[in-house]
Amino acid sequence: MRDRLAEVGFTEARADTIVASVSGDIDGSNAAELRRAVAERVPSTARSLIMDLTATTYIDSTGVELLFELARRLSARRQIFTVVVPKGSGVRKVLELCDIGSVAILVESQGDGLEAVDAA
Amino acid sequence: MADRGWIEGEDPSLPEGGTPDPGGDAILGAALEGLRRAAEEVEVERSTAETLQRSLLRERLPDVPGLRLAARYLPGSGEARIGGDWYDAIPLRDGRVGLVIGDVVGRGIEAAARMAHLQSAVRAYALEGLRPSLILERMNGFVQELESRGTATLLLAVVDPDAETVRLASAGHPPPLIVDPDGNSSFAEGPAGNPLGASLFPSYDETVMAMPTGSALVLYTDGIVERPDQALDVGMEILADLGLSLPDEPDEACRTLLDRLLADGLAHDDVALLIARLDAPPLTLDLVVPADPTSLVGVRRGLGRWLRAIGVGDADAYELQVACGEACANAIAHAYPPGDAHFAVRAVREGSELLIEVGDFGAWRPPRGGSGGRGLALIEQLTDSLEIDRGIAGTTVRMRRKMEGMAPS
Repeated sequence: MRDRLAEVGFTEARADTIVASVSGDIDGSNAAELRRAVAERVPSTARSLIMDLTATTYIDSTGVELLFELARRLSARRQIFTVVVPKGSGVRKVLELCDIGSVAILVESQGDGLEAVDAA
Repeated sequence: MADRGWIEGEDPSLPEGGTPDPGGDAILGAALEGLRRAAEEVEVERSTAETLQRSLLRERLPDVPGLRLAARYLPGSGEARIGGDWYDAIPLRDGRVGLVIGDVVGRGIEAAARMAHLQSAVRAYALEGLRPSLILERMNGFVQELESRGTATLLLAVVDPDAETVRLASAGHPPPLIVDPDGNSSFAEGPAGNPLGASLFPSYDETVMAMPTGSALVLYTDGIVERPDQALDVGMEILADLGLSLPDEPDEACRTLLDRLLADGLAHDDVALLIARLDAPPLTLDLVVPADPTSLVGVRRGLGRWLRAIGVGDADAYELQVACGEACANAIAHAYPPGDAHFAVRAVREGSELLIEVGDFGAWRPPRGGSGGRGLALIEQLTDSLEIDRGIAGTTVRMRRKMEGMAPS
């Protein structure tokens, strides 16, 4: 039996903003499938994607790569990409070491994420 | 099989003294033929049920770091006494594992088929992350919905190797035996609960028990403790006594229990047995795992548990898990000939320093852009030193990090 490790849930915070919340671990065993699952759920008409990693317990470089690829895809369509990660978490540290801030807006809550979308 | 049946042995329907008179009564001959055919049908049903039953039980239990598992299923020796008992081990999130043992009332193909339904349903509910008491409630509803009615007993034990606890919930199943690290054995306390399907609105309780490193948990079905010539409580007493000198290795422990509890080596009723032992974290962590991305989580959890056991804090442990994970991902990405490829992870403390080595048996390849380069950069940022030893036999990635506040060795 294969452990999926992570779950992803989708909500529409607003008509133009998709929120993808990932709980669990993201690693080389599920990152590619997770990227496809998220990419499929973001229509070209959406204004922005908020990736909420508050409940993400682990991320490695394949998970970071997933975020960079999503960022490339979104920026090609002029969509805003926001990543929610609480301060002080291990996931935050890994994302900062990989300079995710160069391709996405890094915030600490979904509310901050929506404000960032409005300001952008 | 024939040696267990009466067809070729003594025939209880025959008068004392043995074989029918060859020139004898035609009616007796026809009756015997009928009996023989009925016996063959029983035998076919029996072997079909056994095949079904065996195909449903995991031959290989999952690898859970820190937990050693072994299980057995034995068909009953009685007529068509097969089917209905099962065990399962389901890896859950966060390194916990759900252990399952159950007994469907009934015999033969029908019981084996109902057991298959129940086994799938428990897996599905467990993977949803539901708590054990809620899983039992849902299972009760599930059994009520099944077309072929009947009750079943079920015990769930969710073992958390990190917290060293086990969370138990029972639907009318005999309590598991817990053997503590000093070798004392006792049955888990807690309400037995209603068997599944026995009541429309049952309620199930959960009991959380300490399961310190070195403890063993013995889950079983009543076939192992109950015999026609022996009451259930007598068998349980014998089981508790055997628990006092239970072999460390679960596989050997299973063998010992079956040898000692089943007097003639045969089970009258069918028997399922599942033993789990929580291992002490070793001084040196040594893992050898298949070169596949699905191995990453096991290494990560094994390393995390080992690091916590030697006193490394959560934040440091997380960073070392990431560094080690990147080295493992690199080992997995290296070209291997198709087939059975593995890589090795070793972690050891050297004074105030931690050394983690990831060795593969392939040739080093420079990372190809993307996450490969990013992974190596992460290792460099999260450790104090990184060496890559590209040997002929394989590549070893050696990472060191100074640790403050580790528990004294």
